Amino acid sequence: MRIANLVAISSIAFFAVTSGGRAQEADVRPTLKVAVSALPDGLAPGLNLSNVGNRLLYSVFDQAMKRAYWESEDGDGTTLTPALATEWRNVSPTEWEIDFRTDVTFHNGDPVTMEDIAFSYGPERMFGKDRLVKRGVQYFGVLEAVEVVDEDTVKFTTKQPDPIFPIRFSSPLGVVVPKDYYLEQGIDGFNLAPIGTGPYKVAEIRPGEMIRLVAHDGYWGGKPPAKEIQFIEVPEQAARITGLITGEIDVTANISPDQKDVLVEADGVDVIASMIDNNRIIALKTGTPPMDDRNLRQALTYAIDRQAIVSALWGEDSRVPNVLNVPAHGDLYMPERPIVTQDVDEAKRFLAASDYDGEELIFRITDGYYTNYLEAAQIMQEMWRAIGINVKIEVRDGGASLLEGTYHMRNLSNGIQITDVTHPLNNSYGPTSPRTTAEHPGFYWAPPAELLELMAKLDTTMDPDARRAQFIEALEIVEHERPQIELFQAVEYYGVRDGVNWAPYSFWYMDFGPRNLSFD
Amino acid sequence: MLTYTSIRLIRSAATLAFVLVSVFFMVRLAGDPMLALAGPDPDPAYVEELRQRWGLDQPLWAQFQSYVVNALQGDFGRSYATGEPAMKLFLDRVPATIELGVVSLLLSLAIGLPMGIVAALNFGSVLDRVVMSTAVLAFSLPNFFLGILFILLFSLHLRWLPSFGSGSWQHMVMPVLTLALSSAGAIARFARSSMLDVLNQPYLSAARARGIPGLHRITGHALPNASIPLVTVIGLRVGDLIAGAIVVETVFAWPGVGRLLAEAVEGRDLAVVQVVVVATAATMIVSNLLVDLTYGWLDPRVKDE
Repeated sequence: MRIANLVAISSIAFFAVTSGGRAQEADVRPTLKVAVSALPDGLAPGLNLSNVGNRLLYSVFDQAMKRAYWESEDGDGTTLTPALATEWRNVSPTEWEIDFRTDVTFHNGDPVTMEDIAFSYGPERMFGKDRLVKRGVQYFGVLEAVEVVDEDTVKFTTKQPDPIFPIRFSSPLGVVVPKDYYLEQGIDGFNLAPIGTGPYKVAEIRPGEMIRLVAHDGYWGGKPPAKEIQFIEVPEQAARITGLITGEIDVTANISPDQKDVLVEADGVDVIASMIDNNRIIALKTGTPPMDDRNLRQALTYAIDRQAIVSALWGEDSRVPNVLNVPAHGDLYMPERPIVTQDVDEAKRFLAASDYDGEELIFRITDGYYTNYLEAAQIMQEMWRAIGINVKIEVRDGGASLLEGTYHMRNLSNGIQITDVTHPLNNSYGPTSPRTTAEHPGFYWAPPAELLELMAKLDTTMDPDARRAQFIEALEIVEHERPQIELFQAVEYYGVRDGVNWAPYSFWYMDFGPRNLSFD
Repeated sequence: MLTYTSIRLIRSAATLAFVLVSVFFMVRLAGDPMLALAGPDPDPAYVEELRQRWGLDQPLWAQFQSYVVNALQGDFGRSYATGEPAMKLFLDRVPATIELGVVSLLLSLAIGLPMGIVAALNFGSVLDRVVMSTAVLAFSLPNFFLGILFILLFSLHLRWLPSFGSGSWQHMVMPVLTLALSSAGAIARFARSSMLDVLNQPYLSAARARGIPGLHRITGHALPNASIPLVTVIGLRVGDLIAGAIVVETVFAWPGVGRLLAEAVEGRDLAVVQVVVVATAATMIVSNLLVDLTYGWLDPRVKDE
């Protein structure tokens, strides 16, 4: 009898303890399902720099500094703000000391050490000859040495004074990875099983199907608001839209402008248009006649009404960008500089001054690559025809066929990944850019020596006023030569279910961390 | 019989060898895969690094030699996108595709065969016309269109079924229906014309004269004789199992071989394209071989010819 009582009491006590424990441990946070048209094949920073890869970057990794997109209502704030780094100082023209947080852990529970940080940006990974991330030099090629100073400081030595050095850490490559694990896995292994410090850790990567992330509750920036995030590849837009309306998914990217109204009219969902820091442009292949004539290039520019095109295709959702002078350049942006508008008389004057004699100009466009680009090209074709320029549109699939054979202009974009002009400027016109390398199929313009000199100065001038003067001079050269025509700023439409409080940024990053996600 | 079988085996092996060789050259006609991988504004140094990494800097004959030697051992190289073996990526996706393919094939037979038989037995009647118009409609509607119609009906309006994905029987309903309906339309048309051919044969009139009941005349006499053209159609459908659902798998985000192929073609992931094409060809060849052997079994006159 006593034994029976004991068993009964013990059972009740056990049940009370375990069920109480369960109630305390139960994770009531929701799972967030995000549909995208394509997923990256892996998540190693530097291997998957495309827009589909960058979507997951903020969830899994942290940069040393972040661009505070969230500071602006439109998600395009430009202030540089501490993330894994807490403070940075320029101790000499070429030396920077950066203090880092010491309370950060990787997803595997290991603390982030200064050795991890020095490795993440150091020569072995980023800028040495046999570096693991080949594209590392794009942002960190300026570095000469990286060394650990003490338990919370790392010293970075640059080859030359670098006015934008801290901004480089906010690039998609500015993230911190665990040294030992990274070296053990190699970049390909790390690609499929990445470990970072972000609010969510990778639980599963099923290429072409789903990437499942679970909350990293040791996240230094606060408790992740979702228990789990599933990024699901749903190539068919109708399925993404239906899934959002029926509640199968909570957020969807990749809504085309013509389907936006479906979501506007649907109950329980909202559509958000987000302008991305990426300008769709026409690259004019200037190396051979008749496009080597800048008068023809100016005529092409003045002949088109870009505002009318943007209004027709995007409504209020996009805008005409100025030549290399956009809000994303932060302190260097000059909103007062005028944007070229359509001027048919001016276009005709330039055309008359050119050697163009009515030959067919071939405009190559990648099939389906840039939303609304082909439609814009067809409108422009008529605008050019009106002043006597004969343009033929050739639609090609991606890759080599876009660049093969004779053509005179093609689609291209200028992405702005860090908030300064030197990066897009060097990407477009730097001496090693494929756009300026005559023997490369992607070549379209060889910049004059003055511009190259100005770019070199912009790279190393520390005084902000002097830089601004150099930038204005550089802009004037580009505007005079007109190697490209800016068309419109890229727009991404997202569908979001009611009750999910999330806002996009002006880049592909989707931030589902504590700062930018909550549920009603 | 041995000659009949061995001739067909040799023919099948030769076809497979031809596919194995030609796919290597065909996929390379589409341009440099590394330019597709490097994006629209490729950095030459990066493209060169990719070429070296994937052995595309080697002369074509050397690439071909190692491709053949490895392929014969079942190694089709690694995916440019994930770095994993292409064969593994393919095999991972096979079960989902087979599941979809087999269920939809069975469903299409269950729908198509009775439709064709009923139409033939009621030749020229209103029922015949209704059944055949339905079959033509099902056969002619493009898969992507039918799929989207189903999504709108079953997911958006009725809220009965999930609009994409896999993992439960509910997920299977729409892709299976989409695949089965067009297939059923084709099977119904073939079943009807084969049945009509045999229904007019003297031996069926003789059977009727002998007083054999209607159902027995159809199942015992008409159907076996009408089955040769049907076996051909069914054989083609079986051969199409591996890569026959590219559109449907894409519309419903079904993680099968069709999706893999579509993604690999888009990303110029040659190793993956190669393995899927060779596997598709092999399935088609094996199913044709089986069809040929079934002919010989169904109609002994075939193997005597």
